[in-house]
Amino acid sequence: MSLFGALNTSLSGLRANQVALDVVSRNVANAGTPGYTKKISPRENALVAGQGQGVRILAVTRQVDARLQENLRGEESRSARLSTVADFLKRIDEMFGRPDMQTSLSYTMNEFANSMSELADNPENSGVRKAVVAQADMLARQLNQLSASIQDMRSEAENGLALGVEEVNNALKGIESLNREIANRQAAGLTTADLEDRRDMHLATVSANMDIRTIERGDGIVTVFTSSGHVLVNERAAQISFDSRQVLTPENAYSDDDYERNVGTLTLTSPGGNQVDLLKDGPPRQGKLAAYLELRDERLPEAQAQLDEIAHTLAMALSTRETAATPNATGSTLSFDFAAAPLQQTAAGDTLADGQSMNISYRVSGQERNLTVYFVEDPYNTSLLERVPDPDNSVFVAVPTAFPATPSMAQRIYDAVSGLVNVPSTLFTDPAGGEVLTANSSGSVVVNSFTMNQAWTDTADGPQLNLFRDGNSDRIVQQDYTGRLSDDKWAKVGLAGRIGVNTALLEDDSLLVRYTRADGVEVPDGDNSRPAMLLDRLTEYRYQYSADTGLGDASRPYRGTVLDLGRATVTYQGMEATTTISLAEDQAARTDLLNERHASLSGVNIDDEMAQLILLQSAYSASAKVMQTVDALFDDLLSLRR
Amino acid sequence: MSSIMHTPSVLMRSTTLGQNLKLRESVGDLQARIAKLTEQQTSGFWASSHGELRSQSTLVQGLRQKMSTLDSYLRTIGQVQTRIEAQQGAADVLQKAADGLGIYAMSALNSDAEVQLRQVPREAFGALERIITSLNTNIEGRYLFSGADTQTRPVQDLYTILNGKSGKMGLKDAAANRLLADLGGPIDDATNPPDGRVTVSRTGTRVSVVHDGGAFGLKLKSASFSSGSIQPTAPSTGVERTSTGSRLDVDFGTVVNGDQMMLTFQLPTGETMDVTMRAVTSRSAVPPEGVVEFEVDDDMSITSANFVNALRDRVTEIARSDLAGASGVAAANDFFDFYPPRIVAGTDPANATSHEISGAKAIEWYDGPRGPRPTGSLVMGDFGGMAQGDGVTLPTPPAIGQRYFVDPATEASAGAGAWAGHPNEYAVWDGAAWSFSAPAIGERMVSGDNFGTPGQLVQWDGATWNTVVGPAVQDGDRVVVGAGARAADEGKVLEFDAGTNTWGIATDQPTTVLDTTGNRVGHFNGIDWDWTAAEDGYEMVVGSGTSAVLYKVDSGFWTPRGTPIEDPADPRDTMKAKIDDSTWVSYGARANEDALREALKNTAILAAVDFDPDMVEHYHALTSRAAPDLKGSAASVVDVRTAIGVSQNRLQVTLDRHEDVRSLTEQQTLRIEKIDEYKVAVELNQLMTQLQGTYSITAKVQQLSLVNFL
Repeated sequence: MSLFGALNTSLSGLRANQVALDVVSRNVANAGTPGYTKKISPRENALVAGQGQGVRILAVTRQVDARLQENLRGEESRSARLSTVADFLKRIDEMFGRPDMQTSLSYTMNEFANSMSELADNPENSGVRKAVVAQADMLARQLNQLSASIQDMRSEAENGLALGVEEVNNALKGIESLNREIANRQAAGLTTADLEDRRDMHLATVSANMDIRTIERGDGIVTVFTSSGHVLVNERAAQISFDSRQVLTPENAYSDDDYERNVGTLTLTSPGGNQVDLLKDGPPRQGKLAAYLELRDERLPEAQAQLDEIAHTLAMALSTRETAATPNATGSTLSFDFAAAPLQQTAAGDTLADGQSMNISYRVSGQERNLTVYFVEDPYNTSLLERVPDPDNSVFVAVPTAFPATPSMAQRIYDAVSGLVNVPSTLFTDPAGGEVLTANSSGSVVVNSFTMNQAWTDTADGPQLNLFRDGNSDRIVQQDYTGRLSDDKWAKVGLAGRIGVNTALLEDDSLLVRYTRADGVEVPDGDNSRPAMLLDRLTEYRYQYSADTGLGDASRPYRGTVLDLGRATVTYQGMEATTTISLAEDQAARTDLLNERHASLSGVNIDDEMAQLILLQSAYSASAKVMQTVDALFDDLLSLRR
Repeated sequence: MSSIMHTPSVLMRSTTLGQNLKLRESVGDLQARIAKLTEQQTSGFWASSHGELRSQSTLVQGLRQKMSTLDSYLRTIGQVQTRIEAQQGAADVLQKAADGLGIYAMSALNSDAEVQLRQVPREAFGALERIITSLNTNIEGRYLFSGADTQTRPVQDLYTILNGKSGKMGLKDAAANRLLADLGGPIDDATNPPDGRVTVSRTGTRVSVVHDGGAFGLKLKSASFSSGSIQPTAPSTGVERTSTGSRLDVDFGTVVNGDQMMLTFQLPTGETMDVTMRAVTSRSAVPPEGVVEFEVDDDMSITSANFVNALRDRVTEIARSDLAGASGVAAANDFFDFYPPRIVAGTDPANATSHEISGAKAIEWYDGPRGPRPTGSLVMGDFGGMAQGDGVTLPTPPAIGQRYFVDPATEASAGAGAWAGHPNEYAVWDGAAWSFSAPAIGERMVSGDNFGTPGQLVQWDGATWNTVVGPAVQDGDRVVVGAGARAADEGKVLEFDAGTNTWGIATDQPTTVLDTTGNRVGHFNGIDWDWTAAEDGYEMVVGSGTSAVLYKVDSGFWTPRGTPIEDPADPRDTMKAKIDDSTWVSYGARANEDALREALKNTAILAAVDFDPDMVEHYHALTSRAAPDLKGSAASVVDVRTAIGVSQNRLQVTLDRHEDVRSLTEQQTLRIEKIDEYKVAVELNQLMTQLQGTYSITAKVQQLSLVNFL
């Protein structure tokens, strides 16, 4: 109202403009800083007793759309997960090789089969024999390396989890302290914009690692939840801990049972002291932690299972002795006599061993069916069903521990099979305690083949050959791999990392051709029956593969030759990698869009600031001018004389 | 590679930060694409990993796998073709050699001039050399005619086969020994002309023709009497078997001009020769074919003497020609068809009566793998004969050749007669006198009618005949009825039936047996059994199908050696090669295949026997038997070559098919995998232009800032 009032008012205007200039300068300085949001200096008409007395500066605020930010964080979580997974899968794809290059696993397997075919043509040529041994060695080593690389990647994932957890913990602590400060300052009416920027950065760190939800409370505190509802930060921060195992091997796997689990798990300790195992109750679904968990527990073990299946099939295919059942005169039945050679027992534990199997393939009304009988030590062990490729069509029979076996082997098998629902009752005749097991073709049931498959470990007995054994280092004693099912530590897990060429072959490669026939005569040098049979096992025999490999499923397992399996594995990895990469790219595009929106809303535009600068400049000069004028008026006033 | 999505409702204000990020992103994006295209151009493939091929990855892998498989089949086919061509070449040489020799030999026979016949051994030598060389063909370090045993040279070299080595005899010596055994003495002996092991003798008007050569010599097979004046001596009705051969005793009644009888002899090769003895008043200058004339006289003794002389001369004639020739062929059969070779047993060939199979005394011509082993039946021995003794008197009249046992009770009895003084001995009546011999300890017989229980297997322990019972004799056990045994069942195999406790004639009469009580192998040649001692390593299959068992002589004993593997009966199957999925081609060959062996055998015997200008008929007879076989074997070789040729054809057809499929598959693969170079070049150009544009625009945009205008 008075001149003094005007002076005060322009002073307030000057002050306001100063603050605004300060904000503009800060905006311009931080134009390129990531995470910086545009600040504005709001002002309001200063009302004192109902009358305006100038301009009042309010706390600097920032222009942020909270919902957009929340969305953006969610997308970035997703993006982080996909890009991490895609990264790892790409590495696996590259490891498995290019289609035409010699680095491909299926190429090595092919070359091995080719060298075996050359051996079948020139069995007496020692150069060719050495080539076969060398190719087998190369194949074993490639499997070893791939297995080692996969386990290395798993260890990387484990370490990544540890690092991520550390990051999250630090960020949560930061959020906790910032929450407190912001609450205090907001209560005092001070500006909290910069602190909020800092807090957003911490939130971004956390969301890059795991998917979170945030709720802003009225007092400025932001509460952070995991997507499953556990509180991460409220007034105080929770802590996540991870019991890392550092180095993982194929035996390290996740299990719900804490005694069996031998990989790390995430434990959330709330500020009150409650502990929650996040993997059992609400695991992170997005973010890098989710990516590492997925890789460590699903993707990489699947790749390992594929390699193990290849190793297992290679070892078993070449070393299995196949004995066919004897047909009767008219060909209507096929039977095995367990009291006659070669299945005859002469002492306990003599001929039948854990892991051996009997396979019958038959047709019922035109539909092809398969049934496998496995000989195991404890047929009531429920985990056995997980270890066979086709659990719906498998039965387990106890290996005899006493001699003679009671009940007889034939009776045991018959009893086990009659327990299956989908097997026709006329397929087997009741041996009535005897030793002969007979399969009948009658009516709509036609038996195609009935064979006994036993893994053979004597190199002199032929024509099968245990070319591959378990153990590939000079320091370990090489052991036979016979496909045993009953061990607690299943030998098939991690076999790819241990498989090696039989050392007996490295010393004497003529074992590839030489063997002793049933009548005690050793075959001559030029006889190609052994290499020919090995070649057939590699290229013509079709096997069933476990659903653990991701190929086929439990009701329709994947069937094919060993070479087919190699190819299918390489293709599978390639497809997985490509699919994930393209998902990651799509996600990146979506994230980019949101980022642009956010940036355009909250980011600094230099031109805008410059324009603002011009305005402020003129405002400042205007206020200064007002003061100057008031000053002149005062001078005029004071220079008033009578 | 993200597409630009326009969302008009979004406020797109370019913030500095946003500008920077956007710029970096799009430039980086362009650069990445350019890098990828460059890589594609250099490598020629548009995918650098399986994943990039996406769904076609399986297809491409399958195609590449197929090409790799086809490559390996093509390589196999190439190798097999080389080997088969070499086989055909070798078989061609062999066939021509055998055929050429056969033709030369036939023309030598027909020409009647000695000169050509004289050259036959040399021609045969040359042909043999060529045959052996071709059978030992070696290519790439493999012997082609050695079945699966490709590292072993199948056939011994020429000199070893003919002359032997290291104390073992070759074909020459084996044939010479056989000649001695068959003839009974050297062929050119003038004082003691060879008689073919046939002795013709006379006592009064009784003429005896005795063959005692056992397995050798001119075997007396049968006789026919067309005139009543010459009749076999009672109780005999014709030719009787003896322990060492056979004999015929005839009585001369009143023989008149024109009376005749016929004797049938068998040569070592199995062919028979008839000799018709005709009584004539005077002998003609050129007797008719196959007829031997002898002068009839009023005095039958003289007639019979003439008969004896005429027959002796004829026998010597036959011995020097046909018998000698057939002997050579038989010697070759023994040498080449048996492993180890079958030779004359003992050290005195002229008096030998049996064979032996010996790898210690004769060299084996073939070192390669054997074909299917001989099959036979097990026997427990060869019976001496049925022992008969009635405990009281001598049998009258005694049967000729029948072996009797003089038990002590008979010998001590009053009616012992000629048997007195010979207790516990065999007595054999040869038509004129008794000959006695003691049974060997362990010798077995089937007991005769006068024994406690007839028809039992009994064994001599030095004092008594013990019945062999229990585990020693079981249901199905077999024995061979030997010489001098129950006449009707001579040569047959008897089988024990535990149910009735008797020996009956076995339903299937095997022609090869092995005696488990000693190392002996018996071969039935249609008339009698040839027993040969078998050496360590000799193998035989007993039984058939799933019950077949392989027996092998091991340290002097027969031991079962497990179920014998079916040696591929067809020599082709000894080598198999895989030329397509589940398709195998057989291309093996063995030097001891029938066709090849026949050619080798006949050539070898013509080369082994020397031509003696004094004994032309010998060589003539040999050549006339060997030459037709040569021509026949050459024809069989053609069959072998045809079989190989069929495989060759199949290989070629498969080769062509694989090559076609391979080139098609390759094209398919390249279509999917390879880049289109022009397309890549154009795209590369476009991108580079785009990048340049982006750079220049960016530069300009940077300059547009209000800052510059303040």
